[in-house]
Amino acid sequence: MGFLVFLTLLILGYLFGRLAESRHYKSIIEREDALRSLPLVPIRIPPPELMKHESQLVTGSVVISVDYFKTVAASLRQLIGGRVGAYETLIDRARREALLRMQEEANALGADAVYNIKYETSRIGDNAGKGLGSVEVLAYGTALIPSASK
Amino acid sequence: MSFPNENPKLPENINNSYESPLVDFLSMAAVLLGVILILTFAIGWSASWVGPQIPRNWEPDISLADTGLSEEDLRIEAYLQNLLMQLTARDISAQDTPSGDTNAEPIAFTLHYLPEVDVANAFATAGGNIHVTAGLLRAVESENGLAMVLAHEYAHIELRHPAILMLEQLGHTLLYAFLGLGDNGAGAFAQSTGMTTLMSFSRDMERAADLRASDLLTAHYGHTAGASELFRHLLEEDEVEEGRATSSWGLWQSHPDTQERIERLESSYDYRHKKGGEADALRSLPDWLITTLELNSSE
Repeated sequence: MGFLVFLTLLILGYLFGRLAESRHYKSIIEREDALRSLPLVPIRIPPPELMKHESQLVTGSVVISVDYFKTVAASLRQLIGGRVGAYETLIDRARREALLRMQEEANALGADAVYNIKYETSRIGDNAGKGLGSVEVLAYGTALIPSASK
Repeated sequence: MSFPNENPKLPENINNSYESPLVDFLSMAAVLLGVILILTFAIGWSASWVGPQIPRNWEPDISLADTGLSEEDLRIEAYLQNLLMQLTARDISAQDTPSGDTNAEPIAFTLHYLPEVDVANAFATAGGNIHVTAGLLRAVESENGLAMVLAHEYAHIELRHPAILMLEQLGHTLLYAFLGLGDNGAGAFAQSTGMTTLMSFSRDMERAADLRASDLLTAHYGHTAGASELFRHLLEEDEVEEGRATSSWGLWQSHPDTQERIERLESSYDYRHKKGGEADALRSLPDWLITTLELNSSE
């Protein structure tokens, strides 16, 4: 009985997890292409040509949950070692999504660029200790907006 | 330093693995199952080897018997103890004891009668304890049928099965403790694989005990007629409770298939050829026992 529950959760986790992941990646790639002309740079000092711009904090945050299949795959990985592919895609999606949301905010403000970009990652949820948790990624930076007086 | 006009398009699959998660998962699961299978077999084999080497007095005395038996129940318990003593007495000199030790002393056992239990069952526990339920006494039709069950449990004790089982459980528990697997996810998957493997050892033990028991019966009665009575009863019960017989998967069971056990017993030479040629070879259960059981069941 316990084994059947496990198998059902595993299959559901795999099917829905894969569906969500491939959809998400498709959307990420499309939006990255659309916002490609809004440069994102990690440098701490604004470039000289944009020194006259006004600056404003922009943030993007996302929370993504692990699915059951990923948890089991990761716990198997724990025994064997190597790259935890299941979690790599999860973190990759979360980072890119957070950056995109920040970029979308900057775009809405009419920014020319975002500089001094930083990431924060944290895990969420009481079950995180058992491997079933969510991950939060926060991306923030300083948007450079052309000043109105100019 | 020039400021970029746009973000570069980076190649995919730098920060995420390219391989299919399903292939990745299945290959990892196969490795884990292989390891578990090998280790569980190793545990099973070493337990079957180490178990019989352990001195009998090291075994803990485990019994589930009630203490406050009535006078009637004590009489039944004494009858069972006596019957099994008779069964095994003839065999003391037997050369075919598993150890091959001809000077082997008779193995001490204690019979416990469980008057409150209506399910037909008998089991042996560590420390030479044999338990027989009231339901079992009602399920068998002759002394021979009862003797078969008692001899079967005695064989478990003689063959050191309680000790072997305890070692298997210990090994199993240690294995999962070392692997650090919990009860969820991959741990549950691995544990059920391990248990399924151990079940095959358990079925082998039951077969060995059946075989030994029929030898004891032959030594005492000269034949094994009536030996399959309990199994026939169990089979009938299964048929009444429809679905139970069909839902039992051979691989997951601790005991061999009941039908298989009946066939094995009834096809033996001793079952078909009653030595001495008595027409009515089955000994009936004592009248007082039948009366007591009937009285108690009608209560």
